[in-house]
Amino acid sequence: MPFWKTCNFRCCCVPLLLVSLLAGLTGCERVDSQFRFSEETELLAPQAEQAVKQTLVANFGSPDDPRIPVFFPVERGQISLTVADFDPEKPTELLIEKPDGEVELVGKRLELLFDPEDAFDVQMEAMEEEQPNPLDGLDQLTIAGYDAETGTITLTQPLPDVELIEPGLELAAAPNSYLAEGERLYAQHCLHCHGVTGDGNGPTAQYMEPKPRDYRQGKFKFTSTGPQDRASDADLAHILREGIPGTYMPSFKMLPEEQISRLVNYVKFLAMRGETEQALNIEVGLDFASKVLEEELEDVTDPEEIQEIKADFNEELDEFILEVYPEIALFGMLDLADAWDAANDEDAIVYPTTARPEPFGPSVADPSRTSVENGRVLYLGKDAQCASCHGDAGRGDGFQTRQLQKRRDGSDYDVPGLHDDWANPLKPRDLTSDIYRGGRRPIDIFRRIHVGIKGTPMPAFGGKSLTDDQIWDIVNFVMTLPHDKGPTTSHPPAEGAVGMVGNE
Amino acid sequence: MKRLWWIFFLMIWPVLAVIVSLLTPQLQWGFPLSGQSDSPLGGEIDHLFYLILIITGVVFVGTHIALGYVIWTASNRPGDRRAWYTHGNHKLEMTWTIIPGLILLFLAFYQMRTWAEFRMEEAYPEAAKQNIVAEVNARQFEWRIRYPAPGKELQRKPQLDDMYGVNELHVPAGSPVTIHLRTIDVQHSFFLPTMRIKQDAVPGLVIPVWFEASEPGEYPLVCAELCGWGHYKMGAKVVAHPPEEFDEFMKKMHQAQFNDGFAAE
Repeated sequence: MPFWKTCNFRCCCVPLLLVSLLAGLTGCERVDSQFRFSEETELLAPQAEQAVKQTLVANFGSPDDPRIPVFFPVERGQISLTVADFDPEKPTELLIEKPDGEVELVGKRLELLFDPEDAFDVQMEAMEEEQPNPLDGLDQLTIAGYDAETGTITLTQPLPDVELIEPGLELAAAPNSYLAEGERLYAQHCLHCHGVTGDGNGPTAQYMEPKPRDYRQGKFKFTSTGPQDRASDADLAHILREGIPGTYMPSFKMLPEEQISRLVNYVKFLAMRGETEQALNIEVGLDFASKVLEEELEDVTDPEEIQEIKADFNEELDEFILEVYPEIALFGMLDLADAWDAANDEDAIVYPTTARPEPFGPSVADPSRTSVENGRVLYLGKDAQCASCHGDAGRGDGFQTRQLQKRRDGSDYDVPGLHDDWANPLKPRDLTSDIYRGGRRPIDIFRRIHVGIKGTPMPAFGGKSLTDDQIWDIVNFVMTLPHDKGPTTSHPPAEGAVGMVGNE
Repeated sequence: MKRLWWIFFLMIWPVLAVIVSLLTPQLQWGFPLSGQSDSPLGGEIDHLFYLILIITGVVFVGTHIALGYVIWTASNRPGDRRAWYTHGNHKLEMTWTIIPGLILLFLAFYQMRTWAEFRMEEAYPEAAKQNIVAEVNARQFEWRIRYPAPGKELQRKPQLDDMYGVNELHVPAGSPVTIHLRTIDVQHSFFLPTMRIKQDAVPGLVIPVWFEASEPGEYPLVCAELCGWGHYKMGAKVVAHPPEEFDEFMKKMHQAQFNDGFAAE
């Protein structure tokens, strides 16, 4: 009997082989993942919760089908087309201006890029006349056929007879293709820390200090833009390429340019989705959070009265969702889109108005001192108060790290010390450690002081409490701190200095 | 049935091994495609590798021929007596102990110079000792690199005018260079596969590693020590510049490092 027919072989090896094959196959299967809704959304009254969730799903899709309204400044990827003619008599046909080159359109989704405000008016008008929404179901449009000769698109469903569909209307075929690419890259490189929803709560996040960024507030720490501005695309790409030393965020320099750009877009997409959710929760939650009703019912015992209050609450809520909510949702998103758009404006980027003086040369702000010396005086001084957090010797041990700080709602945090906007405890940077998270070029450190670090207690000093020349002196002082050459105790305390000097 | 094992040991197994090892360079299974590495020292290491491969290959095939012969003659022997006890053959034992011993001894002496040049600091080429280009700091999960300012020597402690980079190590091509390898957390391994350089980074140690890129170009740098869940992210590259352009490049890097953003106005 040949050896492969022996019982020994069959009993042991075959099952083993099968098991290992199966294990290999299941290991590669894609995990079904969904965007998670925030806690605040879950705490809204049921109908309100439903409405917010619907807005998010309709506008931002799911990880398997990410989408974003076209007015957001995200490169979402699409084949751009323009309507040449539309005849309401033939509602399933659309004549387009012939695109350059060959395009594969059949089977692709088609979006009609109405002006969002015009489309909103049309829908509202129909609602007031108690007509069905004419734009309903337009997000399901698919191209059934395309005649390249005549430029005629045949659709799987008829278009409504509305004035919005006219020559010159922009179309997007196969929309959001870049977002889908971004999602794949994000799943591969980022998701395990930053989470499917971008809430900084992926499976490996629990091992990390500091915590991975939660994008949903739209706050990114290290930007070149002004204190109130969002992060620019270049800022996000810079962090991806350079990483953040001193944290778990590694450098992704080896990724090709195109992949970096897809990732930046996807991260922005997650931030916009999260911010939209947050903005809606604030607007809706003010009157229609579950706890609002609970508070109203707190001292009421009469069952009839309870019913009455509940009915009133629900009636008000239904009216709100029908009449006010759509407007809030749309204009909230439009504002958000504008804010993100502004961050990529050339004017939003902060540049110093003066050059950096030599660290050991004379200071421009105070020519009687060298730049580093003046930086030290400012560091300890009342205007900047750097030492109150970063410590007299720059070791990140200022007195604020031992004080109880207040939450945004006015209550005390559980532990003393500083906290970021996500309520995580936060240590001021030890400036002697020679680690600069936001970059170590002079311009990087200048911007950290000028525009602050977003989402953290590090304020923006630029244009308000410090001049650019003064900031340069502090930059020079901070840059020399980790080195032996930096002045530490050889100078007397500055006039009006906060705290003691040289207590090391 | 008796012949089956003969076929297996003499035909299938050694023939398969020879075919696979001949095909491997073409399939790029960790063999260099051309048999040529991207550095002169790598060439010597390739030579050693192939020498050992040929010696072990000949021994491997020879043993199988012997095994096949034994099975063949035994299967032809009449009667049903399958085996007998033997105390062994003293001469045979001596032969197959001394010959491999001599081969090992030969290899030990033969590789000494290459190994010393690669690992023993006193045997490093003089040019490598002179030309310390950077400090490479491995960390979970990237390579942080510190260069001295143009015209200055690398100091053990960071200096005010040092330059920094990540995941890109810039060196001049065509001459031996040394990097100082450190790790700021766990053990990593500095691996230049196409130059045949591999050196562990050990916490608390500064380990000099020298290498020479024969031609200008980009060469992969990876971590070869499983260092944590993000081990796979530690892919980087060594960029070898034409020697005449290297100084200019470092000057530009210095300007970029100390960019104050003012000129951008």
